[in-house]
Amino acid sequence: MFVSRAVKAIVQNRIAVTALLFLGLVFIVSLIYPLLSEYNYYAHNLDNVFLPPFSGKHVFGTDNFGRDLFVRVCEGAKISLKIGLAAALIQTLIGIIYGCLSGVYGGIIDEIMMRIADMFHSIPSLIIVILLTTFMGRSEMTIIIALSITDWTGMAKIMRGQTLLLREMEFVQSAKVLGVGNLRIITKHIIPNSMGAILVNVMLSIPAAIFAEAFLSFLGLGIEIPKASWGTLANEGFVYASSYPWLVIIPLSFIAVIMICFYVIGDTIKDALGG
Amino acid sequence: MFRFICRRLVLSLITVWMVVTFTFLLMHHMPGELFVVKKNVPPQVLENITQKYGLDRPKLEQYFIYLGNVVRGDLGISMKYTNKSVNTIISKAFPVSVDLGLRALFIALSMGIILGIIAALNKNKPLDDITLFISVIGVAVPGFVLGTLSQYLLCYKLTGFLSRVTGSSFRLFPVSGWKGFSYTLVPSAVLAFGAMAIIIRMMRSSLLDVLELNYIVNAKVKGLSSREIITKHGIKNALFPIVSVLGPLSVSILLGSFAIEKIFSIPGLGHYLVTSVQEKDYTMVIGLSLFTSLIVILVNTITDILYSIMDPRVQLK
Amino acid sequence: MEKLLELSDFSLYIKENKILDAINLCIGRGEIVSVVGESGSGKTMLAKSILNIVKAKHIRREGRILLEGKSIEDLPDEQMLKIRGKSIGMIFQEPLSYMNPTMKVGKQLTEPLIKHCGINYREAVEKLKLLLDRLKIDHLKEYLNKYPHELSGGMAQRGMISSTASCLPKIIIADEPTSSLDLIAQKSIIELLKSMTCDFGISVIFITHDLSLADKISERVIVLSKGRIVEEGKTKEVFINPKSEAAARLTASALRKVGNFNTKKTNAEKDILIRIEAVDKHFPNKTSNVLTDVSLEIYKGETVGLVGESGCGKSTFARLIARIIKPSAGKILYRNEDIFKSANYPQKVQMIFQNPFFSLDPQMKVENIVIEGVGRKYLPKKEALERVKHYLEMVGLEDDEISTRYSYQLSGGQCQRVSIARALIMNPELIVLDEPTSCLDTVSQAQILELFKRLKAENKVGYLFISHDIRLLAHICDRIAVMYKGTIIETGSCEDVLVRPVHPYTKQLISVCYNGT
Repeated sequence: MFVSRAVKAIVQNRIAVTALLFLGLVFIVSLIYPLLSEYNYYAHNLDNVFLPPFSGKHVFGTDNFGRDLFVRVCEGAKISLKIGLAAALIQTLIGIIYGCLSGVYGGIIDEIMMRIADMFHSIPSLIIVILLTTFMGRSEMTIIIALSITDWTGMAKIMRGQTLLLREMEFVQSAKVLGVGNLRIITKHIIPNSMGAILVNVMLSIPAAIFAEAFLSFLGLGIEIPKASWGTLANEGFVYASSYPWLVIIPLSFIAVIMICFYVIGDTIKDALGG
Repeated sequence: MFRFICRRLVLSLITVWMVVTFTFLLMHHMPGELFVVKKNVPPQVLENITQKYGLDRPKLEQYFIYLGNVVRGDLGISMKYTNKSVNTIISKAFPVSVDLGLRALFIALSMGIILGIIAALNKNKPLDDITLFISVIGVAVPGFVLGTLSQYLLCYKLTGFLSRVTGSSFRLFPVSGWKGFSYTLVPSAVLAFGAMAIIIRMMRSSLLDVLELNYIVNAKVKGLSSREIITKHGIKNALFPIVSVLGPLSVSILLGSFAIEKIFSIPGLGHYLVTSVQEKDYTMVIGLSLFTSLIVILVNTITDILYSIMDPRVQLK
Repeated sequence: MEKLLELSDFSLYIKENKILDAINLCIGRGEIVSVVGESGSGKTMLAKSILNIVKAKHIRREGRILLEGKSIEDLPDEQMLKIRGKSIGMIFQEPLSYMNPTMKVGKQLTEPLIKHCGINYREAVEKLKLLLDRLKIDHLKEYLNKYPHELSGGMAQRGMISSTASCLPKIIIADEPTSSLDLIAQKSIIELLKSMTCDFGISVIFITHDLSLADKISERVIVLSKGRIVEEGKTKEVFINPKSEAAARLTASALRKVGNFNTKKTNAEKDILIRIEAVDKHFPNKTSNVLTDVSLEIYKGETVGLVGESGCGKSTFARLIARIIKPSAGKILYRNEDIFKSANYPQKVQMIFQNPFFSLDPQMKVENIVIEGVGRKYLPKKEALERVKHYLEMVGLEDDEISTRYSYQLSGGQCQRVSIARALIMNPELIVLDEPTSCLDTVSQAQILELFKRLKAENKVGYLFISHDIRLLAHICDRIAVMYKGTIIETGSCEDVLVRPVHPYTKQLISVCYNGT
């Protein structure tokens, strides 16, 4: 019911549809770009450095090593989206389980679990991510794990709130009177009735995770070369910003537009589901 | 109230302890253990850190030495340079970060609240749409993207153009550095933008929500004018959600400043943190991260307490 | 009588819907007039229209509103400001939500005085105190220094009335001022409004859905239905001899013409089903106990009524027996076995909740809701559906399509029937009913009560019937227990409690309920 309402809201909103189409386009192109371009993302070509956009077959131009920027942006999209989606989903999962347990058991367990969540919440996640990646290496996996274990508290709090709210609702109480067990109450009543909040949270976590990764990589603390997310590309291009602005402007524009797309869609869903 | 504050403080202390312990474990138990990789460390520095962190003692004792140092306010020394300690870096960099952060916070709050009120009072009119557009951009587009773009447009293009036209060496917006008022304008505005966007949205929706409430109807029935209703009953109640996010917002400004400091070469905390990560100056990374975390925890604690004092409705749990 | 406020052919449209249709209404100086109607009849819209505070898009108003002969229906807003609060005041249903939560009570209650009489805060407080003194509010100073969330509904409403009256307006419009309050507070509010008329000559338009309440306060009543005035006259006459359908329905609901359960006392052999022994319930974050030392016995097959005002602990008590929450002290025994150790307690005690819409999971179809307690997976699909159908028929839901619907596609009465079917399918010996009819309209209310009566005869199931309305309980219960501030102060047969009440609170409750009808 929540999902169909969300889909309906998106379809009815022209801006949201555009955003969705653009996201889809970026996603598909990032997968099939080898069919569109003869270049790869790592081979240097020192004869063709700093070509501006639309020179020959280099649609976005080339960078300081003569690598094709279009291909690198496509490859970057793959990494950015992968990290964003994976981190958001893991966070949400942790949050749902944690929040439900805390809310259903209540009492002292709830108190302790929430204080722990509070502590996690008041530690700046970016700092933790920086520490983890500094000491554990900067692979995609580390970044996904680091982002997931630091940013789950929001979902946990929402889910706990939902659980507490629904637990007092009469239909959950009547399930209790009917002798339905806690696990079944969670899976049959609480999670289905919280799908709206969950959906909204996922839609807002994805851009947040993409942002966090881009931020790190832009500072030079994220994905390591020769692999490159959009943030890494912007970081590399930043050095040449005054002379070859496209090297930084193109990847940054992608980050900006993708973020806007996610927010528009997230907002539409939020409005529709009243989250 | 007193109990609430005490509990909040105790909680914060535990959090601080957790972070300190976490950094200690990180230093000693992660793959590529830092004190094993001694080959690049100059002998003088090695001697210093061995002494400082008690590396020749058992692990548990090292932990208490580390804890003791932190409690005394000594966050460690560099493992790259003999003459650098974390504290000297902080005393140089932190004032700069605070300066930048407070400017940004001030801009974000004042502009955000004003624009939010304007948007709410002009609901669904062009003025509302414009502020809404600004806030969507601000919420969605990361600060470092805006920073880089505005540096390119304002500091390179516009300033360069003006210098050429006037023929003087006057730079309206200098590209980088932190040497005077003109250097602060673009960075603090860019840093403020994201937080401002959030405040605009919250202020708008919370004022609109408040204006729908029954006590506003009642104020109207009492015969108060629209202006009185908004100033006496509307704005104060609408401000509470904003106070409640003041903590997270300040934190996001503090962390966002890392990127802004990189872009505009401002010698703040973030600048040094990034440099020390790149130089693999691990003790420095730990020290600076620890300091930043402590500041964040402090800010969160203070704003929580502030909120509970301001809103009589908050349950004094 | 001098005409004070007059509406002539007043109509209100929102978009193209006619909300109010050619209302003609006249109120004299110092008169109390009741406007009675069912929910959705346009009562509140009428009240708000007089002050021109209806908030909606595409509003159109027709006809005239005259205050002391001067037309006020199309005054510009600046001039309306001088009428609102000064000439016409208004009070509302849930007083607490009409108070600014972050402003001290004294500050907001003096607002009309400061605004309209041009005096400062201190003078306004002095003036307000004179009024509040009459309300017997103790600790006046503390009262004014409190924040709204520290007040009870009754206290807040008294403050609101004195604040509204402080400017000596000509009319006070009272929109269901008592319906969120308990019976005792209700009575004091009615008396207060009456005294405003007597002492200051303020006219009152009293809006309510309860005809018996209208009868207590005013001699003249106007019955509103679907935006039109369908009947007007002396309250007593309308009550005794309603001419319009709407008035007849309202009268019926006021008198609660429900049948008697006709159960003979079945306590020949005292077969104790549930024994509650000295139970306390304390919630964290609350200073005082919700329930203190409550003991009660329920015999097999009997109907016990539990009556008390809102907030006295009735619902907590219900939830204890239904095993939703645990007691802080004391024991609840089911046939001498602790209910928290009982394995198949759901097959013994079931519960029906107050709000039928909230008691069904909005994400589930009716058939799944009804079968939930049995566990659908233990039954073949066909048999499960058969059973669902059987029990739905038992509660009077014969329509086959109902079982595949969601709760939001059903009416309140239907929802409550589904809840009952869900309880019955467990074959319980006792059903706890927590105000099962108070969210329903008059007609469904009577039907559901009939259903309970029938089920009792057919299934020999016992009830613990919880209500704030002692009249309702008197019709259907074998025994009545009275709860006051978390303790049971009196138990006995219906007759004993009603005719020979011992405790002063019970006496007060009965007198409040039965006086005037």
